[in-house]
Amino acid sequence: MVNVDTTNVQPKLKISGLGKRYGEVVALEPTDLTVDAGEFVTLLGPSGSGKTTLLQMISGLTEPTTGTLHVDGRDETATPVHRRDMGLVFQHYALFPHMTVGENIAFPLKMRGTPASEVRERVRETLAKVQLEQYGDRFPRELSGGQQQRVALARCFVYRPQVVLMDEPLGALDKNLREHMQFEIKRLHREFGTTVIYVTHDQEEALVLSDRICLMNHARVEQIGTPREIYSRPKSIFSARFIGLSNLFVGKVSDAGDGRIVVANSNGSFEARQENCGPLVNGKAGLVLRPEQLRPGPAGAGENDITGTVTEIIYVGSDTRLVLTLQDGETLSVRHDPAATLPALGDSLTYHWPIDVAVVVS
Amino acid sequence: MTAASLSASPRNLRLRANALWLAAPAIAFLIVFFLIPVGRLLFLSVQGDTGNLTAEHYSRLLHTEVYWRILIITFRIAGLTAFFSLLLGYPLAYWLSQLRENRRNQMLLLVLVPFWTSYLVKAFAWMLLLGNQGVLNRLLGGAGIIDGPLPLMYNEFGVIVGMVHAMMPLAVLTMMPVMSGIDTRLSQAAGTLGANGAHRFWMVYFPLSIPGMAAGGLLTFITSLGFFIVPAFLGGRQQTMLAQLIIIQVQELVNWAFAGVLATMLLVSALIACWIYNHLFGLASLSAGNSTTDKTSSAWTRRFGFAILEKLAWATSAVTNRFAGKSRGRLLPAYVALIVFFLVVPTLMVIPIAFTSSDFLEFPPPGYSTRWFSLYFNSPIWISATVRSFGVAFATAIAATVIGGFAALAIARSRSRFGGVVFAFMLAPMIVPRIVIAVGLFYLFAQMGLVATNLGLVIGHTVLSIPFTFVAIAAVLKGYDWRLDQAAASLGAGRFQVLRLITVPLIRGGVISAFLFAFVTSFDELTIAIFVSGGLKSTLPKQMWDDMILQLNPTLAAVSVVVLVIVTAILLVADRLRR
Amino acid sequence: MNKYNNISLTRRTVLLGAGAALAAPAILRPAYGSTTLTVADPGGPFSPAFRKAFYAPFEKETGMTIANVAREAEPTAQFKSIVETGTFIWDVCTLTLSARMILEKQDLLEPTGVEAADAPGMMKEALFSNFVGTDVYSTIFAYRTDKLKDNGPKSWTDFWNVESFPGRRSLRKNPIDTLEQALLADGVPLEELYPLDLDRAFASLDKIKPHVDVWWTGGAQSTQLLQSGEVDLISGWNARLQAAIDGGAPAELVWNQGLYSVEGWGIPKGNPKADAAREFVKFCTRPEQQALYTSELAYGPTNQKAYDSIDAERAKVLPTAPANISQMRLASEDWWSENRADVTERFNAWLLI
Repeated sequence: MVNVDTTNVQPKLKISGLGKRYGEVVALEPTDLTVDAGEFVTLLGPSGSGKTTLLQMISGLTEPTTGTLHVDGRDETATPVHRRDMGLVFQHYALFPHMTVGENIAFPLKMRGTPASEVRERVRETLAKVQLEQYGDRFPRELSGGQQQRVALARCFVYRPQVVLMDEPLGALDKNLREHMQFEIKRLHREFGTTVIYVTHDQEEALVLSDRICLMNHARVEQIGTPREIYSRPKSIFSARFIGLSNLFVGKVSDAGDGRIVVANSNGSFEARQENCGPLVNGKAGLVLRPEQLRPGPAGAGENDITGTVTEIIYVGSDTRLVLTLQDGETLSVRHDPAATLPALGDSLTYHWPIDVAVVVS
Repeated sequence: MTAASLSASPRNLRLRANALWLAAPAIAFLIVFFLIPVGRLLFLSVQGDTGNLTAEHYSRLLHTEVYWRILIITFRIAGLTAFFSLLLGYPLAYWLSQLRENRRNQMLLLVLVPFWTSYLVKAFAWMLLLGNQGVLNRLLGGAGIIDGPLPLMYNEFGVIVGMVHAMMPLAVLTMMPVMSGIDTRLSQAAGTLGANGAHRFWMVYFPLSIPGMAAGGLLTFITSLGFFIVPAFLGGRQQTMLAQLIIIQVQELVNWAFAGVLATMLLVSALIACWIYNHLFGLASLSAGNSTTDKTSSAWTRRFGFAILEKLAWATSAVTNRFAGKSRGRLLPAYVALIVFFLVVPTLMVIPIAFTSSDFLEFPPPGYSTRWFSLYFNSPIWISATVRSFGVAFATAIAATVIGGFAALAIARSRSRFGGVVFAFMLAPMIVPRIVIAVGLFYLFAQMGLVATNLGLVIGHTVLSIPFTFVAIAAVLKGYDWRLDQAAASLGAGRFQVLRLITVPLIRGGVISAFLFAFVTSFDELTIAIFVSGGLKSTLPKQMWDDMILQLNPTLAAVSVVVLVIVTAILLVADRLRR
Repeated sequence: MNKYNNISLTRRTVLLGAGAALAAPAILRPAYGSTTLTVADPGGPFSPAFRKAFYAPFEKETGMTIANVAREAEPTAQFKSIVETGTFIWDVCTLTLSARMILEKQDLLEPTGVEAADAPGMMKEALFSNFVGTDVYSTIFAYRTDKLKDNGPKSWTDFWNVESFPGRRSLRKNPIDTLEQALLADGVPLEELYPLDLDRAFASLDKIKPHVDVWWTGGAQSTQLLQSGEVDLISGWNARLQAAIDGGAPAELVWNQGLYSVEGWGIPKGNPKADAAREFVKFCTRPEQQALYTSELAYGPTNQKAYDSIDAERAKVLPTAPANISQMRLASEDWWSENRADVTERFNAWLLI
């Protein structure tokens, strides 16, 4: 699987054919990826998709089986980990338990032989940036999870590496703290202008943070693109399912002419534009519809429509979602129009959508 | 997190307050079979002829310089032994900690090999190796490396070699769990932050391994304090240890009052060593864990320590940078091979000696025969001693593991301020010279009718083994996630079921090493066997000891080989079963 | 090979078949017929030799059973514990003269009831009211003939003479015997040794100190040292040095200026089987019985009449053979029991300097 992205002449990071196997087990298929200077790229995927392996190979902690890594045009494939100018923020922070917060942050500077006075100054400055001025003499275990995370970030940003790698850094935090830290990371990224490669399995986090998302599955890249691209134009069922809520009708595809195709199954036949259709395999495909693309209304009001029975009403704060059960037992998620009255369970409702919005994937 | 623990806390509190009761069997056992007998014997040291209290025996101590000199020598030898056991054992422990669990268990067998050779035989093997006419001197002389024989034995060097050989497995086994508990990501993190190999080691890994080193150091130091056979055989005129003097007082001069004085002296100095250790590291760090850094000190000593480590790191990287990258990776395996060779070489030597045709322990043997084996196998005395030794060791291992294990559980679960006292008490049998325990126990057993019984042997050996099983299990419990127990309890398991189905399987590694420690302690024990067996219920070491009264013959080597084969077979089968 | 098979057979009889063994001869001596005496001997080669010389013949004659166990080299502590706790796991035990002295002072020994008149031929040093000697051992020295050739050292003075008799030396790490040797080396006549002139002894030891390569601590070690050639001159107990020679080591024993002592039976005080024990102890004074163990143990019978049935070649290596014992004297237990604690202290201090 090869995904080439050629946006710039001199990318910050150029990964070509980088792959890793452990004996028979493939941890990552040979992969290509380019990252521009100052870009925030997220590696998104379920566990076991190879994203951490890719990150570790970029950092130098894992040796690749195949491929090369270029930073600023220089081949750094064989550079030992401590000579790469990269920062890595670990999932569980990996703060040194025997050092104080200040010593943790000073560590990378000391390793670079920075004069003591400058070390002190920069540690102070960085602590201020993550709002931990008062905690320099504490030990990591005396801090809360969020504070520890900020120390980990500070320790990474203090020596201003060209590239910062983050391995699910917010995985251990609760939702509120996570959202707060997302802003913190965005802010640091902006302030330092660093190139960031961020690993997560949380699609929302990926959508919030990233300039681009590299969606991964089964040890290879599924799709690379901006969050908007991936959301609105998924290239595969996996992409469609993994990002955002989506409805999927799998059925036989036939050409309806005039740049249109038809996906048919037991719930009916639905039309879509040929241009929104990816390459197909043996005539079967899935039609992807986002809940917010469906509008309520009588049959025939739009270009496609579908009817089902309300079986679930889910209130999620900002809006209300309805789950309809279709003729063949499949379900459909739709957004309830806040202006309309709430239906009762068992009501039969019809939704329609314009032909342009649906995407067909293999 | 907070909400959950709040609701659970009243129960937790009760559990914790109660937890110390789990140590009750161990405490009761040690009070009856250790504290009382030893206390009675030590009490003799303050008793006059008419039973009055007196300090006369102690005043002799004050006026005689030689005992203080010997105390210093004892400390020096024990200190050097602990130091070199740590220094030489550290890379081995590190290497083991990096292996996968299965492979590590196999490799551990190699480290344990020296344990399965009686220390009497080991001492003689070293004599054959280090002597003026010994293997080493002949090899070096033959190769033209040296002109005359090197003085390798009958001096401090010989004693240290013998003692480090005996103690290093203990040091390695204590350090290893701490090392394998160190989060590998910390080293990786240091790497990504720009630290090279030397810096990663000295500034991150090494300080995190200090609790293990401290525990290993204390255990080897205290155990070494009581040594007497190695200095007697391998030492020179100046290598006399306090335990030797105590034995002379007990056995040759039959002056038990003064033996009590010397035993008290040894005991008090060992306690002082523990106190200093406690001050520096916290006794609880004996069972490892990271929480001990609190104790390590004032900010000042910490900063000083780090400054030294940083210097070491720069120095090391300056040196290692000169080596080619490739050979550096082979340095550790080569070193490990060398140390393992050091550990097994006396045992390896015993094998050809067992097949000798000579009447002596000679190396290389002048000819080969199986006469010593047929002597062994045709002797009901040897066979019954072997069977008894295995039986007693097995029973001891079970008893000590259960009793020590519950005590460790109690300490791990309790927040009581008596925890420290209980901890120190559990370690006490290690500090008191065995001869003192043996004589004390004989008196007690005589009253209970346990002299010359297998039960008496098991009880005596269990007293000696409890410190080891306690420490081994406490070490693994330190890193144990108690929420798993709570989870099991919430799923309907009773206390006992939790222990049997959850806790024990998860701390299996520690339980197994506790079991092995206890087994070995009993299997190689001589002093208690001499007193308690009364010559009637002879164990293997006792039988060996009897046999070498007049002349050391190769039966001992044959016995060692048989034991080695049996034990290796048992361990291999156990290893298979575990998988 | 045969020798060892016999041992194991007899041992098996004792251990496993005690019941069966005592059944048959029980008719002969009803008084003690069902008695089993537990005898603590030094173990090792002593056990088979004593079984042949004493245990088996005694069993046959009296119908009693002898169960032998090995005792510690210094059984005093155990002996004391046995008497004080009344746990008579041993009925008879071999003691050295020094152990006898210590135990006697603490009143831990039962009278043996053996008078000189009961045992004609017995050495007077081997008979006490509470002790019956079975064998005599002596502290002498040996040298390697491959290093010192024909013209070897003949006395302790020679042993101390490092110029004329070069070689690695070993002495016992214990003041007992070693102080006597130092005085003999310094020219004190054998007869005038006691009381030991301590200052003179230590002054003499100072001279040899730098030339002592090994201070041995155990008998097995002394055998090993001589046998392996680790040292060329070594003090030691005759039987243990003899063991090296029997094993083929090129060495010679020097009996001149030797010190001998006696090992024998003692009975723990208050032993309920004391009468049977006394009978056994008396049995062991018989010369024909004592002669039997000398073929396996290089110790001297305490009953001089035993030499009537010992061949001349074997007699050469036995301490009580007239040619040997005439060159030696008895070590003084009286002096040692008075001074041992203090002298041991001084000796240990001297070693460290």
